[in-house]
Amino acid sequence: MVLAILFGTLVILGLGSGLWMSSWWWLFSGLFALVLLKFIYSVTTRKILRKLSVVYVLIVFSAAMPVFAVHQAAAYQSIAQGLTSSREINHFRNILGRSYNYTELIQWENRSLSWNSSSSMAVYNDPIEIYEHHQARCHGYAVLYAELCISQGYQCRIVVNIFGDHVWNEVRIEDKWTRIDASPTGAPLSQNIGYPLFYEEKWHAANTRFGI
Amino acid sequence: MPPILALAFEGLSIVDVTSSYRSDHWSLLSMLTIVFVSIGVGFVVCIYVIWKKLSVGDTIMDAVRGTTTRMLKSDTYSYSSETVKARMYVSKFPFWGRNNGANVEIVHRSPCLGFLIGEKLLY
Repeated sequence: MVLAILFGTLVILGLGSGLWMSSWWWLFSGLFALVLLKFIYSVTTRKILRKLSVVYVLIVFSAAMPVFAVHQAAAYQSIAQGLTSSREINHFRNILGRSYNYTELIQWENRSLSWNSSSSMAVYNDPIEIYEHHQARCHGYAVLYAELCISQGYQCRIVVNIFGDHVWNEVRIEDKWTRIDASPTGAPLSQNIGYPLFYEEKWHAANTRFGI
Repeated sequence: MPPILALAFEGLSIVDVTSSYRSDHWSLLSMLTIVFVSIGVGFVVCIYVIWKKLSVGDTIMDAVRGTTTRMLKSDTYSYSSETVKARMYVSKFPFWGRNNGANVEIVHRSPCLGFLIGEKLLY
């Protein structure tokens, strides 16, 4: 039974692949938790053990979202840290060849990358690899854009919607953090710069059109 | 859809920027949300504990009914909880007597509301 519980924890929390936190993850881990409880109930008739098993499953499920958030945060912190390396900055300064402002960088990036929403596409965290692959989803667009901005002297950060599967940027313009979404959302450029309520008011249209 | 948790990453720093992207300026990690969630969880736990105390009698009756459908010979079974300890006698002849052949004797009780409700249900 101890082995079953340990295995259950790994399955519920450990599906750290692309499925994690998706609707498939909820379905699989929910069904698995039910099977696990059924197994424990068939193994023991002791009320205390049965109650503990239910409490255990509830705790594991409650822990799943914070664990996922911490996992995501650790991954993006590592990516953000890597953006400041002089090797990457010099690489993109050389590729760009001249100075660009933040609007021109969006256009440059959209000429260099094409949108690929396929789940089978390899996901790169290194901006050089993203650029050389020429295909990306919002994650790739945001990471590369951050690197391009940093190479041009802007202060830029990556913004991650932890439970919502979208990534964009914020650039420090005139002492204010301004939202910039370099992904091809289908919206006019004016809506991809500033307009922080875009995800509340216009997201549905972008999501339907591009599967972002 | 507005984000539930939007985090901004720059170098080693992580900033919660959720409220900037919501018209209600709500944030999952704000102190107000944490306080409300903690109070809500405490409230649910209190309700659960009280409900469990109140349903002790029901649990005993379920145990009696469940066992009498399975048992055919005379035997003694005990049910215990935090508040009530009851011993159940199952008759040799399952259709005789109260509770479809089973009788319950309270062998120990704690002075709490749950027991009073339980006693009322048992007799």
